Amino acid sequence: MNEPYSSPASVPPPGKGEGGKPSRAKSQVISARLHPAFPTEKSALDIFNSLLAAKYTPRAIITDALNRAAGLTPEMFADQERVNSLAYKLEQQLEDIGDLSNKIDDGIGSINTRIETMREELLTALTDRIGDILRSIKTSDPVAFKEFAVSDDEGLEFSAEFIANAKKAFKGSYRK
Amino acid sequence: MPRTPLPFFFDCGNYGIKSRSSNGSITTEDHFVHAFAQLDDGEFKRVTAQASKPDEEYFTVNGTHYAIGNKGKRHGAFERRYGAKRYNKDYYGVFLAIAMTRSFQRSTDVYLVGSHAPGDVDYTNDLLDAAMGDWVVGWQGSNYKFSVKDGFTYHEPLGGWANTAFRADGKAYARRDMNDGVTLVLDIGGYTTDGLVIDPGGSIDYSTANSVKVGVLNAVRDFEKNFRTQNAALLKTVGTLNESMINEAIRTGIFDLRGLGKIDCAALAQETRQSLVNDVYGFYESYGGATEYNNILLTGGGSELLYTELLAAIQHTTILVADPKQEMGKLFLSNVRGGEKWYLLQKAIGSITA
Repeated sequence: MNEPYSSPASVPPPGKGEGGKPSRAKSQVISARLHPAFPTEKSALDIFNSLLAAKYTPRAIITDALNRAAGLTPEMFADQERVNSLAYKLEQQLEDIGDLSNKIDDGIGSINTRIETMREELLTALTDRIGDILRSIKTSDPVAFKEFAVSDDEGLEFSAEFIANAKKAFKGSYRK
Repeated sequence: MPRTPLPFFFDCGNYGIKSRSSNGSITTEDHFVHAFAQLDDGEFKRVTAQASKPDEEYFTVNGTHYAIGNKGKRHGAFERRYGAKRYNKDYYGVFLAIAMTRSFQRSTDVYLVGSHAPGDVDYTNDLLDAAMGDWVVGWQGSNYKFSVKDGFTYHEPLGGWANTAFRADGKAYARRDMNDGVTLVLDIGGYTTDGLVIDPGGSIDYSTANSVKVGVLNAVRDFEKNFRTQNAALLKTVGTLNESMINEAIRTGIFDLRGLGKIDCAALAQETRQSLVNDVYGFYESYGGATEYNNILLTGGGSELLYTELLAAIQHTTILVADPKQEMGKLFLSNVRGGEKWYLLQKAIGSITA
């Protein structure tokens, strides 16, 4: 009865301090909900497994479900009411896992959005600050501004007009 | 198979001899004092016989011995030639041969890119005639042969402009504003101050290329005369005052007379600088003043010496200096660096095939 819950080969081992293996059901849930920020299944699972290693995670629910499944016997199926009760409980636990997965997924999306926002804010602030510094340098010390401006990192293409002027301005070599 | 000549960028400036070269992957920049003395065989033998290797200031160029810089000055009074009078094989050619030796340190064919003051524009063929041909140089126990095969000349202010406006490879702008606006280049050198106007689109208006005899060397002479008057007793037994030391005194206001101590000459230094600024400003005014130009570009050694006073006098929002700030007071290589960029540009657009 344990067979359906054995781990797929691609699933990494669970987090430190935790026994057992993550269920195939869980890996499928995660596979189906890969967030764009985590392009591979492995990276998503790595994150999920690290979450499982924390104290309050679906890990306890899964372990409980595994234990209950392992405890099932043929005799139990004769007792329809007991089977129904167990099935209901398992169904509830799977839904709980699904809800938690959704919450994690939403959380990752939210964090990603926040990171993007912060990145934009940081870039804007840096650009403004550099502009202020350049303006102040230009005002107070044109030499220093010139040194910055002559940086070889810049490269503005010469126009056709410029090249024509440069050709015109060149008399030619001594032995032309 | 003929060897490809290596380009050599050379400025035989009145105050200093400046050069830039590329020996394979190594770029060399050099600067030495504009002075040499010719030595006879006896004098040269006394130098070479006493040492396992002669000092680096001693050269033999096409069979004639020379000492350069301050060592040259110790062998007698050096008579500096100005303007187009320099463009002879026994003057310009000797300085060129010595500069090539110091830079390349191996025999090679050379393509010369030589700068000149705008006032010498009618003598550029003389400059090239003086340079072309073979130069056999003995230096520090080794002999080198340089064959100057070809070359061209350019206005010194153009070098300052190219150094400021172009990227290092000469194939793009480093500053967009130099393309969009009108730039007046003022090159304040040792003997002359030169001007050149560059219109939008990099159009060089050669009709504006002009030189006046206003330079740092005039200021040095004026300062020396007045300093001697003010310190007549102290300098009674002193023959010649070192030109570099006078320049430093004008810059700092302190004259380090070594064995005679340090003399405060701040007032005289200020007066000398201001007098030179007045002359430069008059030349600047002859170009029409601030409203004619988007950029004023200062180049040459005098631009650094007079920078503070020029900023106050010219009253323009965009005054640029072609030499990097950290090198100011030492090298003034912007003209030869710009010469290289101008050469690279002309090569890229097919004007030079060498």
